[in-house]
Amino acid sequence: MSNQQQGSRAGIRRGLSNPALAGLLMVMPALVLVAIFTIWPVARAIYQSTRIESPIFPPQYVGFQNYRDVWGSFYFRDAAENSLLFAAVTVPALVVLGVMVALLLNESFVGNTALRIGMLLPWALPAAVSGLIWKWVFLDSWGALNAGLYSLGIIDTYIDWLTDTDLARLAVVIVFVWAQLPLAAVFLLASLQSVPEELYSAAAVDGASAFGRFRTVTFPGIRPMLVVVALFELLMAITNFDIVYALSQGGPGTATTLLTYFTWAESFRKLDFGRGSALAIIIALASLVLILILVRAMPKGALVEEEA
Amino acid sequence: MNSRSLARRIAIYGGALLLAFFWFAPFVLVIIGSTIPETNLTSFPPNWFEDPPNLQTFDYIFTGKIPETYEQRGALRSMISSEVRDVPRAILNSFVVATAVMFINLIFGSLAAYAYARLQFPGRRFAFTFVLMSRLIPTVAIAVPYYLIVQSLDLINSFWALIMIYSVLTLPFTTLVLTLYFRSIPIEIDEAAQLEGASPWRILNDIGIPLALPSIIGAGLFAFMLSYSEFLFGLFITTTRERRTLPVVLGSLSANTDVSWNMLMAGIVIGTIPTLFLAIPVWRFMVRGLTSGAIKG
Amino acid sequence: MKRTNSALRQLTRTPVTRRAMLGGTAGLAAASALQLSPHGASAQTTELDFTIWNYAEDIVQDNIEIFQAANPDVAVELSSFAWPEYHTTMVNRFTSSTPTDAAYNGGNWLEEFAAAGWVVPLDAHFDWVAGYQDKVLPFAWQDMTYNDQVYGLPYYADTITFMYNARILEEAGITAPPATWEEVTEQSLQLKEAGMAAPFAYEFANTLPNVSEAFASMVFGRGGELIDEEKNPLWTDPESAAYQQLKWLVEARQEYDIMAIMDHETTITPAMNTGQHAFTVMYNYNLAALNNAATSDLAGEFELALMPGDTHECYGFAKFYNMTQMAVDRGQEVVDSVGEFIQYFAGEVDGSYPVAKRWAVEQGLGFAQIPLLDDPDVQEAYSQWLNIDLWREQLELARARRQAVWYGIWSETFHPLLGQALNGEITVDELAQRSADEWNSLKERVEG
Repeated sequence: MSNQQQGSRAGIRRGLSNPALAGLLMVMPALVLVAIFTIWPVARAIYQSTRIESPIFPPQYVGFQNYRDVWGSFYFRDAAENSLLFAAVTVPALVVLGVMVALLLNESFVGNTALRIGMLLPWALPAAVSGLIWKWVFLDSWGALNAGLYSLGIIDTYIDWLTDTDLARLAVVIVFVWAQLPLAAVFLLASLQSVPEELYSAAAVDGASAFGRFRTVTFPGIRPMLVVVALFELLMAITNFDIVYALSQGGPGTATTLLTYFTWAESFRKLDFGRGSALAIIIALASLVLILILVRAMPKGALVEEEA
Repeated sequence: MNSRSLARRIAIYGGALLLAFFWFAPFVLVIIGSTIPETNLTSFPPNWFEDPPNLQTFDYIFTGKIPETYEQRGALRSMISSEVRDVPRAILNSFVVATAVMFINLIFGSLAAYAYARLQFPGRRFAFTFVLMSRLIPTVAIAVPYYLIVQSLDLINSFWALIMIYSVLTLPFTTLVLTLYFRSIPIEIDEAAQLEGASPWRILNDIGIPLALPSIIGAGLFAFMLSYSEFLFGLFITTTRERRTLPVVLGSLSANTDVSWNMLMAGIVIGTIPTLFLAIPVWRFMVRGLTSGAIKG
Repeated sequence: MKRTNSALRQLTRTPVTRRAMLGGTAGLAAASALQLSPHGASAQTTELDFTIWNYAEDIVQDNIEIFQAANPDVAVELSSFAWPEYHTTMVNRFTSSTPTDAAYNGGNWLEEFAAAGWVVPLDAHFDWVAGYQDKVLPFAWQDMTYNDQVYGLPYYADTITFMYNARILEEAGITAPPATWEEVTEQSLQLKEAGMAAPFAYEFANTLPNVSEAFASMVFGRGGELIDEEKNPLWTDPESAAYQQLKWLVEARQEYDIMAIMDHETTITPAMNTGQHAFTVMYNYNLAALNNAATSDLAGEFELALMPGDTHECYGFAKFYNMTQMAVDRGQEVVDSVGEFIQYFAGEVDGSYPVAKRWAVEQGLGFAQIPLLDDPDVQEAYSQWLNIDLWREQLELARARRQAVWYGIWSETFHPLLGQALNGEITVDELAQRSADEWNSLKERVEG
């Protein structure tokens, strides 16, 4: 190999070693893929949201009319209320129950490992399938739950789980919690186990009760993870679609229609892609605002901060 | 003292039993339901166990042998759906796609994460934020544009389309988690290697990946799970029986009049088996890998 | 008002045809290898893309094989979608111009697809279509007609009918099935007193197209209509049959508590099989499922009754084959092939109707072709689960509904409103008013 060739080879290697160039090359593949599937689709969605886009209406530009229509429709109000209610109920439930389950799993008892391994099943199952399974459980006339309760003599007429407003909502919440609790609990368990033993001993020496120990040692120790779990589950609650689709289809009436389901219905059922896009943009902006608020409100150091 | 710890034991075991019941009952129900003839499932007053359980539904799915109940007098034998026999193949399809997505996440996700965490390059912050924010817009709104992109590449009904789309859906989360994890590795290790003249690639290869391996695999498995369960795009993109993924097939079966519920449940049981096998590695890698990154610092 | 989708097309990227793509993409060779390629398109075979909803897909595939054996110059590529999402996926498919030459369709979406210019009238391209008019049941012919042009030929036609459990009625001392909706209430209350919690099983879900159809069927039974000839809603008038039926539904649930609601025939049929319900209204073929001994302990107990109401009319519909605008754009050769295809699958072949007959005998599906009514095989198969004479009587009283392009879209708002009324969240008047408002606003937007 000539000196010249060696030189240029070293030159290339030095070039590639340049952190900036290396960094760019490393992020490129993922970035390009995401960009292709983000820039044009989002631009198109924004464009469509300002127009009437439907197979049966003549297309035309309507400015913010779609946004106004969506905002003012009863369907939107119901869906937004339902989504907020849903998140407000499920996220705290998941955090609280998650902590309780994590505490339980932290104890040693026969079957602990089996429980830990098996509990990932509900989460690992496709949501569409979970919805189906629970649909059978909750069915009015011959579902498993009604059959079981009836056989045990607890009820003497079958309960309308899926066709009563409140019960249907309860059913969706139960299925969601059932599917998400394992993950929340596992995260919190890992966090729990990283709290140093010495802190507990120190607290015990100070004479703290079990509850006191929880308050002064455990809770601060797992607080960052609590925040992570809360944020993650909030995201899950907002984007939940499959369960509602399989279980109740937004019914009865609009009782279990969540915003994601409503968006889908506007676009693909009512074939109003303009309004569907407007709705999606509203949801995206609302999510953005929500996330920004939460990130600001988070205690410092809860997540690793990005350097300026 | 004794009574307190006894009460404690009772509380613990009671809680554990309750939990086990809550989580596993649906699965047990489905398994039971798949072995009982539908006539018994719909009996009122409920009398599920009138006939002994049998595996004929599974037999039908795998071999096409028609269950006994259809051989009776008065049974419309042809009113049994052949669609449920697509379940094994659908599982394979979902598995193939999810595995590919996992590898894409493993490779490109960790590459990108390392760069975001450790390297300075122009547009770093913007790119990172962009990738994360791309997940904010509900998939429903971009489903049609995605379809159009796929169609213009003539990839409708292909696995590649699903792999691409699922990668786009999972990479942001993978990138976030791994970036956090890489950040949590003490920078001194990197600096020591840099002093020895190692390029960023070398550092990534020799130090970054080995240290972050559990986290990386965990993120990959997470991506696997999400791809395996995805429903909406599976519905749009696949147009033939050979290509349909598991959630789509099961959803379709549930609305098919010729599919009796015990047959549907058998399909669900078979569809659940891969997740059973995955539970253990997921537990080991994902949990340890994901959580240690987020709580440091 | 016929509109092409050219405006929509401008927004979408120019679709690249499959053949051009296969020629030019070496990089996608791996992907192509993954794809199954059952038909090598030679210069002489015409390739047709045919989409169906995935009901009994293997029988469809089998029929395709038989057709191709008889017509070697045509190669049919089958795509299928889950029935609940067929409409959605087809809209997607058409707006993005995915190659499609022939497609299943139903009367409830015909106006939409025709107005959007996605499907074309068959009688404008084939002169043999008109000859089928007296061989096809009138309601089916109506359902396939839009703006006085015929858009399809049927593979399946059916009615939405009233079914009841004869044994339950007999045991309760009821001598005849209800002839009016008031009698339905009366008999239900009687059964309720004897211990049955909810005698009437109602098929209802927000996204189920059948809901509007079943509603129409019930209204027809009363001798009414949903809209008048100028497409104005009739149900806002409290005297109208439509309003009366809305009232009946809501009262059955709220006041008399005789109604159980389930989301689909796949949950209603097993529910009827528990013996806890006596009456229901569903697609007629479900009677075959109800009387199927393989899945039902109570097989044989279920019977057809004429739709309650003054005139006993009911809703009839057809599912048929459409030819698409895309096929026409591809040229005369393709059009001819589609014509051959439709003739085999829906038309007369050697004096019979093989595809429709096969559905009828093997699966219990209804049919639109009048000659099949007298076919001995069909009669033998049907008599296993149906009273044929009564059914023929009901068939004569069946009719399709008046069409409106926005009907399908309107029903997506109508259903949740009906759900809310059934729940007691809104009153019948509010239901009538709000759904009428939605109808009128859609009407205005379309008609200008």
